[in-house]
Amino acid sequence: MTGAITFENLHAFYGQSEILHGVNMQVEAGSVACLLGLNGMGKTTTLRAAMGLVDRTEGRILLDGKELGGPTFRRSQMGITLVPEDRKVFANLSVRENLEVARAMAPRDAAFDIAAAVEIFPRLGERMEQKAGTLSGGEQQMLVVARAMLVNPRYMMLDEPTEGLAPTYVEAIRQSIEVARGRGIGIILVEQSLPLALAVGDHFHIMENGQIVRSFTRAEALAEPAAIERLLTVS
Amino acid sequence: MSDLAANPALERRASGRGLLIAGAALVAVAGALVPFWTTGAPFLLMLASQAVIAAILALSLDLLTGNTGLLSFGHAAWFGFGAYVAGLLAKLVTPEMLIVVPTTVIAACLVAAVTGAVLVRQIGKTFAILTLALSQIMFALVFVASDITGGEDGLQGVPVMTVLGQPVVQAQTWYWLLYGVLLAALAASLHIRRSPLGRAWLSIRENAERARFIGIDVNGLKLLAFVMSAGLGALAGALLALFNGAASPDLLSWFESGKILMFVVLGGVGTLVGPVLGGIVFTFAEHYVSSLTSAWLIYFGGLFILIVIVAPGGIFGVLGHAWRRMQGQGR
Repeated sequence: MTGAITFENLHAFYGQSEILHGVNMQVEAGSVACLLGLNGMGKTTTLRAAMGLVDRTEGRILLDGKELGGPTFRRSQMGITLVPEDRKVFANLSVRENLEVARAMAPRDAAFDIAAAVEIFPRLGERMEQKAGTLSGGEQQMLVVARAMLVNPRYMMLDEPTEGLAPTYVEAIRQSIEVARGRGIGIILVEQSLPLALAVGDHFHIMENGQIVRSFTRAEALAEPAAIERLLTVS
Repeated sequence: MSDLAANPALERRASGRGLLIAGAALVAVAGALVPFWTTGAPFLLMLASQAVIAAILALSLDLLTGNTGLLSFGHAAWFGFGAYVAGLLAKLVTPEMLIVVPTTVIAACLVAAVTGAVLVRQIGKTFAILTLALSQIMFALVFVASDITGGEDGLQGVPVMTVLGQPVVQAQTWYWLLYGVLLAALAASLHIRRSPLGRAWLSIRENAERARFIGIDVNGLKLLAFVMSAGLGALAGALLALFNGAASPDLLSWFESGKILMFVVLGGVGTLVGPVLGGIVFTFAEHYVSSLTSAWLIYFGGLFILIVIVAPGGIFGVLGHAWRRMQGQGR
C-alpha cells in the first residue's frame, strides 16, 4: 500500500505565539524525511502538532488522504506515532510488558511483532524480564523505538533519537530506521547528526523560523553536503 | 520443557512460581477454614467477616489507584452509597441478595460513569480533591434525605438477607459467602492485571502521554477503572449493610476514605493482593489496639508515616523482598 503524510500550510500556536508559519511537506510511505535546522526553528513543534499536542493549529495534515485530527490517542490509532526526545519508557513495567502493551494496540494480524523487534534489538531480548527503568540510556532508546514500531504505525516520527548515544546504539537505531522503511513505514526524522541523516534520509528539509526554507533530494544532498552543513551553522 | 531443563535460571523461577502458587492456595484454604477455628468465639468470626469486607473495599480502591495512579480521597463515597442503596432496597423492595446486590452495583456504576466522566479528566491533586468533594456531597445527602436514610441515627432495621429465598442467618454461612466474593474479586482483578487491559492501565499509571502515543484511550480507560472501582466498593458496602442489618453515615465520612487509603498503602499500592492483606490486618489491629488505648489513632498515624518512609511497598513489598532473599539463598 502506498500513501503519504502531507503537511499543508500548517500553522501552530502555543497560546498567542505562532511557532509554525505555514509548513509544507510530503513524506511518502516507505521513505525517510529528515527535518534539519538549528534549535528553536520549529522541528519538534511540527512533530507535536501532528500528534495534537499544541494549543491550536491552522492548515491541515493529511494521512493517506484522510485529515489527521482529534485527540492524541485517536491520531495514533489513525496510524502515526511519535518517539519524543526524552525517551520515556514505562519504567516500572518489564521490557516484555512495555513491548506487549504496544503490540496489543496494533491490529491482531499486524506483521511487526515482538519477535521481529527482538531481531532488530537483540539486547532487548536479553533484558525481557528486567524493569525498563533499570535499562541504560541506549537500551531505553531502543525500547521506545521498538515500542513505537510495535504499534505498527503507517508513519513514525523520531525526535533526535541518537542524541547522546554511544556509537553501537546509534548503529542500532540506524538499522531500525532501515527496517521500518523496508516495511513501508514513512519516517520523519529530526536529527542533529548530519552523518546519520545522510546515511538514512531520502529527503532533507531545512527549517528556519517555523517554515521549511530549502529541500534536497538524497542525490542533491550527497552531491553537496557542504551546502546543507552551511545552512545548519549559526552565521 | 527441554528449554526449562537446559536453563537453570528458568527452572529455578518455575519451581519458585510453583511454590508461590502452592503457598497462595494454602493461605486461601486457611482463610476458608476460619469458621472452624473460631467455634465458640462468635465475636472473632464476626470480626473476620468485617475484615473480609474491608479487604474487598481495599481491593476496590486499588483497582483505581494501583492500576491507573489516580489517587482518591473519597472512596468511602461508593462504600456508603452501596450500603445505603442496598439497605433501602432490602427494606423497601426485597431482601433477596441476588436482586439487591447486582442492582446496587449497577446503580453505583451508573453514578460513577456520570461523575467519573468529569473527574477522570483531572489529574493529581485536582482529582483527589474532587473525589473528596463527591464523598462529602453523598455524606450530606444522607442528612438532607434523613426521613428515608434515618439521618444521624443511620439506616436501621435492614431485614435478614435471603439467597434464593433462603434467609442467611448462620454466621459461618455469612463468612463463607463474603470470603467467596473476596476470592472471586481478587481472582478477577489478578486476571485483568495480566490482560491487555491491565497492561494498558499500568502504562497509563507510568506515563499517560506515552500511553496516548501508542494509541491508548487514556481518559476512557481511566473512566473504566473508576467505574469498576466504584462498583466493587459499592458491592462491599452492600454486603456490609446486609451483614450488619444497618448502615451509618460514618461509612461515607472522609475518615472512612482515609482508612481505605491506609488499607491500600499498608498492604502495598498497586499489588492487588497487598491491599487485601492491608484491609484484613488493619481491621484486626484497629480492634485490638483501640481496646488497649484510646489514642490508637496516634499510633496508626505514626505507623502510616513509617510505612511510607521505610517500606513504601507495604506488607506485600516486605513479603516480596523476603521471598526474593530466600530464593537468592536457595541457589
